[in-house]
Amino acid sequence: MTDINITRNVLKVVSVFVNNPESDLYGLELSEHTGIAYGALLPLLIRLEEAGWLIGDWEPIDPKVVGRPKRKYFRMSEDGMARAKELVNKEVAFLSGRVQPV
Amino acid sequence: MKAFLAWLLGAVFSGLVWDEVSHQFAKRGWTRSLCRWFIAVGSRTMPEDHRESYIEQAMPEIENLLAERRHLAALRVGFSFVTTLPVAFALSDCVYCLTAVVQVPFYIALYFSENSTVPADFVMRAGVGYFFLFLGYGVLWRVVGIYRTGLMSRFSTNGTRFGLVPLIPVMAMSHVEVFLAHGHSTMAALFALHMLAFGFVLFVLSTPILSRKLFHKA
Repeated sequence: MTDINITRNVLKVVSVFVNNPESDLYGLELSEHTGIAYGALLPLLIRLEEAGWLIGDWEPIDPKVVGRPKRKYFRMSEDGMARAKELVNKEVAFLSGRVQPV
Repeated sequence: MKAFLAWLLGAVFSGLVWDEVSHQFAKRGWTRSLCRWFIAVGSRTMPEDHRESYIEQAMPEIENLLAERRHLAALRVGFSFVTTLPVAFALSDCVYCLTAVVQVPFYIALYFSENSTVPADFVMRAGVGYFFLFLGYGVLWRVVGIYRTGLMSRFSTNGTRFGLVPLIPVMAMSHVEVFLAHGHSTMAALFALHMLAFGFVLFVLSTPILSRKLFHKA
């Protein structure tokens, strides 16, 4: 896993995953949760996936049967989740003045 | 009461019309094609090895929205690819570049004007110098920036925002004064209008907050 430039948008994305650790989320869902426009979010998701923070998988469906194209779902890798929790805790500590474990 | 009812009817009617128009648009595949074009343009500011991924991952989301008859949402998602900051800045740089080229005819017209009292060499120096300055800086760096990595766009965006946008009023006034001083009031007015319009477009496109408010719905 490689480190990436931690921007406000990166924090928004990782906090969604930290708050939903068991969920796999697709791009539009993440866009709705974070408020980041999809066009700006997708490059970020691809960057996070390349850096090993996120794991992306296409839906295991047959588009012809379901009648719609496959979506790519994202979840955090183990290392990504550990790093994300670190970041979220740091951010919370910065904002509130004390550490609150996630 | 009548006004309210008229407004309500209008809103319902325009909603119905809009719904049907957007449905027809989508039925003909225009929404899909337009979104694909938006994504292709937007992906131009991204690293080359990412471009296929953008279209590959973005189009299913568009298709799913179209399948749910959420045409406006699909258009908004597609449009969000051309209103990301790198693209907005790259486009604003293109506008700047084109406008710099458009300014050259003003100088040529001034030079060849029958009643002109402006020394010929001044006009030539100003016009030609201006032209090559912006051609060199503008075309090579900014237009090419659209087809290179985001780094190029970031370089040109900062140059535009912090270097050139503040200079526009200064440049505009100095040129308007030259035209006025030599009796070319019509040309001065046209030039001022042109710079105002250009400045407005550049300002909107290169100011992140304004771009977001105008192009990204909450």
